[in-house]
Amino acid sequence: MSASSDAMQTLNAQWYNALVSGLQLSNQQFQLFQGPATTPKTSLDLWAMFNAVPPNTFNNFYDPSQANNFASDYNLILTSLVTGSDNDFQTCMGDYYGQWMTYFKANVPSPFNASTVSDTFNNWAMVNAPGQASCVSALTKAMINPVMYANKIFAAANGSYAWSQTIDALQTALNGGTSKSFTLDTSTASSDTSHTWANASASGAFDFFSLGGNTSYDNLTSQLTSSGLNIKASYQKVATFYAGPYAQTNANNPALSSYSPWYASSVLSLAYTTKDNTVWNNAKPVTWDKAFGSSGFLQRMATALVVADGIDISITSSASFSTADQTTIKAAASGGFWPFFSASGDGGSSTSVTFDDNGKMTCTTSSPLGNPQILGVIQSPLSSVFS
Amino acid sequence: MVKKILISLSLSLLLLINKIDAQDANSLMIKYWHNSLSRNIGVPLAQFKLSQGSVSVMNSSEWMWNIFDAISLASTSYYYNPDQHNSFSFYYGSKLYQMKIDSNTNKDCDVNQAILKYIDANYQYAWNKTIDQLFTMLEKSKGLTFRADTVINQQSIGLFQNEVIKNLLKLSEVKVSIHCSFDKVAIFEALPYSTLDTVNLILDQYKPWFSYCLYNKLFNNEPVLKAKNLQKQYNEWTQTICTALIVADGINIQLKLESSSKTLLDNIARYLPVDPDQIIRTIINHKAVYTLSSNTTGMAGNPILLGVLVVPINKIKPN
Repeated sequence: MSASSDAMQTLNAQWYNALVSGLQLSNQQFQLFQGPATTPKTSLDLWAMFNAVPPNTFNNFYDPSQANNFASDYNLILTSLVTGSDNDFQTCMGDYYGQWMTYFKANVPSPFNASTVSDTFNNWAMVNAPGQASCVSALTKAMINPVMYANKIFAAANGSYAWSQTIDALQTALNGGTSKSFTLDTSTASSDTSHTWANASASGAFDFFSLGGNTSYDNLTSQLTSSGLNIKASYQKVATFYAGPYAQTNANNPALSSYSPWYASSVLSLAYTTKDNTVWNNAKPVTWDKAFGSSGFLQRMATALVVADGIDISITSSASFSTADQTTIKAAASGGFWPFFSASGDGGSSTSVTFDDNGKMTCTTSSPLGNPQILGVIQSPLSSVFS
Repeated sequence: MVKKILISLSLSLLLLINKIDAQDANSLMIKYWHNSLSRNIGVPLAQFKLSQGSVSVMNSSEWMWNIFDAISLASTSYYYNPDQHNSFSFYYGSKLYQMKIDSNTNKDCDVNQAILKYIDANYQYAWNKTIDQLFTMLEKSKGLTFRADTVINQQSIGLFQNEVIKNLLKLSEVKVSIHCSFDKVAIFEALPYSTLDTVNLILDQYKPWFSYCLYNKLFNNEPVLKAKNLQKQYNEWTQTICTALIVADGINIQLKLESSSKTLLDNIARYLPVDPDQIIRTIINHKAVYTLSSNTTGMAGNPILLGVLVVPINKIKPN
């Protein structure tokens, strides 16, 4: 890794520690989000963030088009499970099963539901097979077969996977959020992330400048970070925003009216907690190990988002830059700087760069209220949720 | 010569005692805040979990029910894991599905009736209270003001009784003072919806789905489930569920740090929600004292979820 990449890794680690302390988050769950795509505008943008499976790093350069997402992984698992035969009723009925089926086919209740089927059976059993009356629970529970139900609702969602909260709810949560501010001095701040949930594992480093990618920017990054930075961050509103995959119809939310529930947690729980072929179909390519093992595609989930609005970040560098470098840096301002990489004008944000007489830089990024920025995600390993 | 050795030792000690791990200070603060809040609100320490960051209470019963419905594993963390991928309501349904056929039908605790009740709810699982009731309770609740003081210091080295060394040891302290006030604070309990509530206009739209007597059968010694995997069953019982929300409105929390060592204060402050650039120096009894303060406020009318109470899932009991 280059010197500038090393420097950015250190800077990101320091920023992570400062955010965790400044916002009272748990370093056993918080993952830093970075990149230009961290400003959700619609519920679909929001759900894409919840849908993204967090990588095993304390920071994530968020890519909305990332391939590994929860809904797809969940579907892969669903299609690899044994549905179950629901033959308890037939076993219970024994010799009376045939008689019952003959009667039932001639007397299908209307409307057809668990209650009417149950009543039909009870009335028949009372006369014809009183000793089999208790079999009724085996008949009705077939209608709550978890795997069958899960497959049915996932198919019915038809590729549209909502989460339980919408973009309007995010704004409401932020309106009630508290203000926070903190300072980071990179010459003294700790970059130790070894005791975080990701054990210091970091995503690929990126430049201080979003337009980076060539040697001149590498040199500028090295110069900036090696001399030390003093960063002041203030957020007018910060909120932790919970949501889960859409599992129960919410008739009171008009924004969800065009979506149907698609998630059944009991099936994911069943799949995670049972490894054998009573649950997993051996004939399918996806196995427990492929899904949940140490290299599995689904090891953790996005649990909540940490969101901020009304943001002011001021970064002062101790490095002195030449006139030529000052010109380069000012040109880069339009593309946005670390840590947000928001292009000027994007969502009302603005980035300005000034230099004092000694060439020392102060860079200020401001984003007004009404432009929520996702600072990070609270992630949960499946092992902390299912047992 | 002795004086030189003593000065050298003192300087070394000063360097050593100033190296309090600042991240340990942050962990100490979280633990202290958790204890103080639990004690002053009057909730069991072992059940109380802090919210991470600032969680706004939303104006939706479904939002609230999703929190009550969420299962996660027991944890020693002071923080609440807000994950909603594992629902108690679906867990309960999976247990109903696994129940053995019971030939000794008990009209008061009938498996088939419990299954029909669950199906009738049509996969919409309410809890027995609504968001309006939370806001009403909060409105009627009292405020709370308390102060909590503590000291962050390194463990006493204990080797020297010399007064010089003792005075140096005092430099390793940071006094922490938290002054907290809530205009309103409430402990809001709710349970799975088991009995029809025709008085509550919102709950009247939902069907009760939960049977306590059936659920209790899972946690006694009756072999009610088809699969006999006791270890798996015991593992499930380590899961926890939220039984109460701790909500506050009109929040003002002042954090003040004080130390005779600016270096130590600056070091510690970088891991706490204070701005090290705002250190104030004053002279008290001819000695320099450094202080740092911060204020967190939440406007009245915007209630915050301070935390929740969690219990193992086999401890759910009706009121």
